[in-house]
Amino acid sequence: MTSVPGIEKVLIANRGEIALRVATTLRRLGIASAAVVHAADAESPAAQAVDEVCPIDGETPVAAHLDADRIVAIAREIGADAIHPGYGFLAENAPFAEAVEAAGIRFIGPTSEAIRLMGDKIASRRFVAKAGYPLTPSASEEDDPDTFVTRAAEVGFPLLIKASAGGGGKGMQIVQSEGELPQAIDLARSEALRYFADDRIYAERYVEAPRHVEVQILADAHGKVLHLGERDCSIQRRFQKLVEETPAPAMDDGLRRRICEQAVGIASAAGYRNAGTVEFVLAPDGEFYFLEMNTRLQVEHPVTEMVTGVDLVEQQVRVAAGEPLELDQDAIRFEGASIECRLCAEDPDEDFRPAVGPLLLVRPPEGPGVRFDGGISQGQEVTTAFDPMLAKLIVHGRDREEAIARARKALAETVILGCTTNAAYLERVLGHDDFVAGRVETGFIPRNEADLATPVLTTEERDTVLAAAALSNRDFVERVGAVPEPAASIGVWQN
Amino acid sequence: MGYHFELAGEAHAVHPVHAPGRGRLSIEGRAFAAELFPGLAEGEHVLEIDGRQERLFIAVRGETHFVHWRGRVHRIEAINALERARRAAEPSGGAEEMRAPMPGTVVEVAVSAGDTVEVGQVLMTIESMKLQTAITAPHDATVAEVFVSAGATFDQGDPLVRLGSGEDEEEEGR
Repeated sequence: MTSVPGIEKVLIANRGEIALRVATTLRRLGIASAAVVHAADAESPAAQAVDEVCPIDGETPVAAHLDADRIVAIAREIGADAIHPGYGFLAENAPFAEAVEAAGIRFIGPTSEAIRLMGDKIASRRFVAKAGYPLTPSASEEDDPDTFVTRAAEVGFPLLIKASAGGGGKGMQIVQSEGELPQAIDLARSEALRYFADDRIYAERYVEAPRHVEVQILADAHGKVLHLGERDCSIQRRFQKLVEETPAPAMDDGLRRRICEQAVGIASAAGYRNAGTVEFVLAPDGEFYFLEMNTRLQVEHPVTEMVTGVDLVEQQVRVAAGEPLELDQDAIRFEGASIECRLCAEDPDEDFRPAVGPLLLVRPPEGPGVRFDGGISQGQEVTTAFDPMLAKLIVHGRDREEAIARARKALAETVILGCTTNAAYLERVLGHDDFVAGRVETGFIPRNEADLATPVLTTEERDTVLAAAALSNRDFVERVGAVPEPAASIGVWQN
Repeated sequence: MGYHFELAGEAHAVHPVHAPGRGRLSIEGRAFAAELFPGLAEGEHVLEIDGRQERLFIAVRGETHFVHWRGRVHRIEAINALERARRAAEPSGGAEEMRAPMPGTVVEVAVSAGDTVEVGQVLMTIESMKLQTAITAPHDATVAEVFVSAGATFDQGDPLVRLGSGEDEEEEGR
């Protein structure tokens, strides 16, 4: 039986690890789960985990997941009481949220008005500035398209060109000088149109050596707004987060409190409801600026769950059902430290080029404090059709030192064969002196490129690996097998 | 017949050794006593080599061997003698061919055959894994041939654009 009155069945409008993550909580709450599934994901763990699979189709798998009309129609057909959009795809699409509401279905997220206000980068910056919170200098194309290039240049270099409707680094271009501006604008616009069906862009000053710090917000429909602490997400490549952690390292409690309180203030001013994240740029001098608000569950939400013990998906469902938050700010306890690493199909030695290939062997790590949120299964083919993130490794420790040690061990024990991944690279990131010391900023990865490169094998290591390959090559073994080697190695591995 | 196993772009000679008690295989001329035993878990193996025991995970597909050892994955290709001979015979040309760095689709083609381009000029925009990348001219050149059009999909290593140097083009023209 459902433990959330009014919500008997939820349609998950997503795929991969987050679809599985949402399904897991729904099951625990006794709520029936359904998911829209493209043929490419028919065998995925998420498709196996839900009670009901609703096939969707489209020119590409991504297009299928962006087909708002179809997804709302499916929700009606199957009698879903609510839709969980996950992150990405339609999660921050106001017309979709509106269509869901209009169909008499609960959208597990903020209201469409709040998405329109805070999910849109330009509108939210205007709103936040008006509410009196600090922002980095910026220029929006919309204000006057004819003078945009000039106004963008006036923001000062280096600057970022971003998609107004964007997120996740998509459609973002860094520009070092005026000469690069026109090309960067064209690229950003084209990416914005392709990923968000919205080609509006804006320019924003790029703070040098900044940290990316964000605050988890939880708000109900009755005016209660809480924060569940901050996360540092400074370890990024291509403007996409790679490692996230809480608490933010090397941050004094006064600054921590000010950032969290400001996030609550912004969410309250916006009349925000459900889970959301207020992102800030933290400059080396301790000044921080509102960056944007993500009006959805974040990829990195598990680190917050690990230290607070709060199931954010459960809270989302309860808030969507109209329940008041039972939690109180003072009752939220932050225990220990948590780190998340995004395991991606990519080659860090080749500028993080996406990798493809069959998943011949998948062996998730285990151990105390280790959580593995994966949407992949052995035998599956990794293709270019979706995002390269395969899974998330999340660890918890009594303190940051223990969390780092546990994460490094778990990364070394994560076996994914057949498709190149960044697992070993992530292990080197976590072992880097700067990371260990909490000296993190968004330029960490390019700055430490040489230190983080895959080390060259010693001759002994090389020979070990070659011997393993040769002795697992059928043809080779047949020839070696003709050679008797009595008693040389019987049982040696059992001791 | 000798075997070659390619690791990190380098081919290494690995041979079976027919000398009981003195080794099982030789790598780049050095003999090793080595045995590989299956472990309890899927893909798990224990390699005994030179008296050491190493726990590793192995998956094989065709001639490609994936070895997970000490937190790193190594990809080793078995190359038979025939393939080696074929590779050696291949001309080393094609330096002017811009090949796909990864599989993906063509978003936009910015040039056509006969165009002169400057170093850094965008030749085309491609997309892989939801990321757009501009393919730019590595030096001043003339576009000799464009192999793909907007919307086309390609695999890693597929030729996208062939460039001729300005002089070559002039010579061909006369």
